[in-house]
Amino acid sequence: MKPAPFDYERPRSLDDALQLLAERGEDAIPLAGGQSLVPMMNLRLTRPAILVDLNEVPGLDGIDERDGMLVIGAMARQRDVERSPLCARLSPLLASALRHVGNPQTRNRGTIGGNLAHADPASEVPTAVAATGGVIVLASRDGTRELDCDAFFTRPYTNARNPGELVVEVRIPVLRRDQGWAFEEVAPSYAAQAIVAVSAVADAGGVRAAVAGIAGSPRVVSHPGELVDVEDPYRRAVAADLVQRVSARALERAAAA
Amino acid sequence: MIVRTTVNGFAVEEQVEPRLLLSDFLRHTLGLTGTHVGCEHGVCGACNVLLDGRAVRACLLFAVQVDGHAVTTVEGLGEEGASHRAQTAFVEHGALQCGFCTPGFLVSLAELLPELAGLEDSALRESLSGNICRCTGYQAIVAAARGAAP
Repeated sequence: MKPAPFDYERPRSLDDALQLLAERGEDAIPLAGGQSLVPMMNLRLTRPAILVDLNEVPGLDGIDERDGMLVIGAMARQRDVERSPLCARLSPLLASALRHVGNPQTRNRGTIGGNLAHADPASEVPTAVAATGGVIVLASRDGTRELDCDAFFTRPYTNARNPGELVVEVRIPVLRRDQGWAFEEVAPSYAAQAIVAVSAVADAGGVRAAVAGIAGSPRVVSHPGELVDVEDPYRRAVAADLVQRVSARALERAAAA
Repeated sequence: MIVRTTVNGFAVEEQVEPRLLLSDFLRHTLGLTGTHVGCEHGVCGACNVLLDGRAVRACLLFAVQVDGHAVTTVEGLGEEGASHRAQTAFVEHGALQCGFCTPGFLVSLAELLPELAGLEDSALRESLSGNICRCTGYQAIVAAARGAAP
């Protein structure tokens, strides 16, 4: 239950962090809040050769509004985002989904970027990003690129980050006045991992729901009927039910707006 | 690697291996055995400590990461000669049996107390969902949290 030895680097600027990640390549693993990575290290499910600790890098934890987007720095703590008045106003869906991630103590340390990079197929945050059509921003010494959820989440626990790159930001379209939203999940208990989690955004034109727990990454649907091909019969039934309920709630809110 | 930090108000400087967990640093290097180690992968909450005033898992931090920061363990709650109000409430409500999980609950409550007043039971229980107790069935713990909230 103790991690294997590793080299520890603690850059003090984003440039230094990107330099380290470029130099050390595949061996270097970014350490954000550590609420998923460190348990895996303690259990020796993973043995990074080099940890690049991002916790002393300034400027990566902003929560801002820019060009119709809620822009959140990768190192913003989940609990800070969840309680941010800006997030409550611009993306109540994300704030609601975040309240189901881990528990208050893990959210105090866990970050938005770390949650996304971990790419847990049952995680709540990716559903909020996928339902709203948000993008994840990767930076390297050569510049930045933006990926939508389909491009970012490649397989369970795997994302499209190349060696030398770092998740630096997520951009979530601001909820429009004519839109409604809803989030719901089914989990064995409040603090347990979700079996199925669903985020939805709706307007007069229809619903965009993102479902976690039925595939390697969030699956976007507009109707529960699209889920007939989910292999596991229990998850299929739960997902269809949740999409139905969450869509109805989102449409209700859109109509009331 | 050298770690310079403040633990319960005292300046500490130690040479540590980067892989040393904060929970082991507190217990083995500093002898502060109030912080308990249950699951060692972030689930049980027995190792909760305050890092710069916020409750976090000590088993999910490396000691080197608290360099330049302030840690408060269960030993640092309350004042000299006076228990923290969460500790007093635990005694008054008999909110423990074996006591293994208690330090983690107390640290969680030390941060959460100001927010707990007026919460419905379900919300209060959600606030405490990061701590596992295998003895009490939580009834007395919830009552103590209720009692300690301002």
